[in-house]
Amino acid sequence: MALKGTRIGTYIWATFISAWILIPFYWLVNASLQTENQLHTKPPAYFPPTLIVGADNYWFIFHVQEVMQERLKAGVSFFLPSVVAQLPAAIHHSMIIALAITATNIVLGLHVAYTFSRVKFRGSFKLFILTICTRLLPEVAVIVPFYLIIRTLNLLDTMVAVYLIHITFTLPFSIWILHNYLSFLPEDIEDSARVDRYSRFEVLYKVLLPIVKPGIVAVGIMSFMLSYREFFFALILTQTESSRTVPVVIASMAANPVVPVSLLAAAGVVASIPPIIVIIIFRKYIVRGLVAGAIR
Amino acid sequence: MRRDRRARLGDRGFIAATMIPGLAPIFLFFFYPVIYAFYVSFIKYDLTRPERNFVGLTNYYKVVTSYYFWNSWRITAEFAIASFVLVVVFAMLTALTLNQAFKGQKILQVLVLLPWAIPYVVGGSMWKWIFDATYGLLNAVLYGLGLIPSYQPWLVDPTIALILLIVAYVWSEMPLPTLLFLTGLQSVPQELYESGLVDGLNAWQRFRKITVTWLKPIFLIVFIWETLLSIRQFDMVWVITAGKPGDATALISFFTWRETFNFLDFGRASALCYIIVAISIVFIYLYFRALKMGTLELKVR
Repeated sequence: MALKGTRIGTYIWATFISAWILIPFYWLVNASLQTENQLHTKPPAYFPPTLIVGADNYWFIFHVQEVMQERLKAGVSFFLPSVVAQLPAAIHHSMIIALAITATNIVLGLHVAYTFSRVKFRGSFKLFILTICTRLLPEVAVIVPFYLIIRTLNLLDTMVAVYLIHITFTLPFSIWILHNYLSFLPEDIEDSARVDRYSRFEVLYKVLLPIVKPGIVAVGIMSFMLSYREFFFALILTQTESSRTVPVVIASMAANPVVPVSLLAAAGVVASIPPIIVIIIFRKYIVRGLVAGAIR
Repeated sequence: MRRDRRARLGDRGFIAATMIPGLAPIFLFFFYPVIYAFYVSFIKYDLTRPERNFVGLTNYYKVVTSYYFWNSWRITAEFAIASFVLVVVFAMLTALTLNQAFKGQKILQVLVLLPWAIPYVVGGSMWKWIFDATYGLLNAVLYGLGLIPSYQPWLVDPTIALILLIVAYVWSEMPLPTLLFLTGLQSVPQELYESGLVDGLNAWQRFRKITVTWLKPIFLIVFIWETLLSIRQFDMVWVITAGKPGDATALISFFTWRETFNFLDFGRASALCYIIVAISIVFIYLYFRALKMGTLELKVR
């Protein structure tokens, strides 16, 4: 069905869209490999003029205290907002939260999705719709009361608070995806297992688990990514270095005009590395998860 | 009969064991807050003052009669429509491209996911630097091409600031619609195209009459999805424009956040949230209707 015209069109659009996606990101990488003085030139440098010197930015954001002390000794004084030094801790927090979210989603998501799709009880469908509705409601809807609850529980500025809210908006998504997965599987596989007097949990873990593995991987990755990139709740719930996540630190750097752009760019590239690795390795699962999450 | 009952009792235990840990956080930290916010929206709840009086619809009245509220909705609507149109054009063309076999297809398949992988705040910082008034790439390119006489402070102009915000957002938001359209394209039955050829339709007619018709439910889903996302969009506004200049780019979620934490008048903020929830629910309802629409069989590769 392909015509000659579409062949050329395909290449033209493929080239255009690749440039549209890559050039902005290249510009970030380019900025991260220049010194602040090199960045402040007209016209801008389209390639890092001194790659090795520029790469120091990456060393800098992970060793802010050391570099500052060295410069102080050398008699160079300059002011740097404290947020610049928070990236290593933030990566640590984001990773812990995102991994905990991944594990929780896999286990609880599978349990709930299985019960919704296989065990019949009254009100099951209504409860299901109510549960998955939550992932579509705007975040601002819960922010006032959630903030008050967290304040009452004395959990403001803790990773637990971020974890709790991330669970509430990733879990409905996972339940929805796994429910779709399970409802496509024929029930006879389990029926025979049930005849063999397997308990529900045995059926779930011994019979179904190997079959729904792709769905579980998709759910794990999706919830990791959703948690890792989440900014709105993290901004409101975390205030200091003790719980701030990567997006909050990056955004605070971006909002502060005193923060050197070269360091911000380096931090941005570092923050993008984990998710980029994930999309390269797990592309198929992500495509499946995204599509299944949106349309089925 | 007795065994049946035992099985049912066992199921009850199983339901409790799976549902309670799973749904408890959703109910405690989502539904309870939503209901609590409803209550707060009817009282005077100023974080800086001790009294908590029932004030009826006063909070709602204050919100609805404020100029900023309508202004923010208007901006959100403009943002939603413009980004929907752009996202559909970009995503559709990219999906059509990916649906063909060509050299470099594998690379493009990974590449289209890149903007999704990059957190909004990083994407926002990246674009902010590109739009920079003194050293930005946008200025450099336009100036180099002779299109502008000198570097411009783009984000100072209300209209341009909104347009640039949409550009940045479209960059981030394209992956999902692309995948949806691609999935849709892969599910179009080949017979339809064959009969189209028999009927003597040219390529454009086939695209319009067969592909677009077949993908109608997906267009609808993308539209509702993008609308809901525009209502929720916060990160990029915060990073790129912070709602400025004036309130020209203060989309509804950003506006609500600022109202809430600047004035700490939680009563009024909750009323504002509830209006957003009500409008979102209309779209969520439409979304579920759209999902049921048609009998489209979607293959997920």
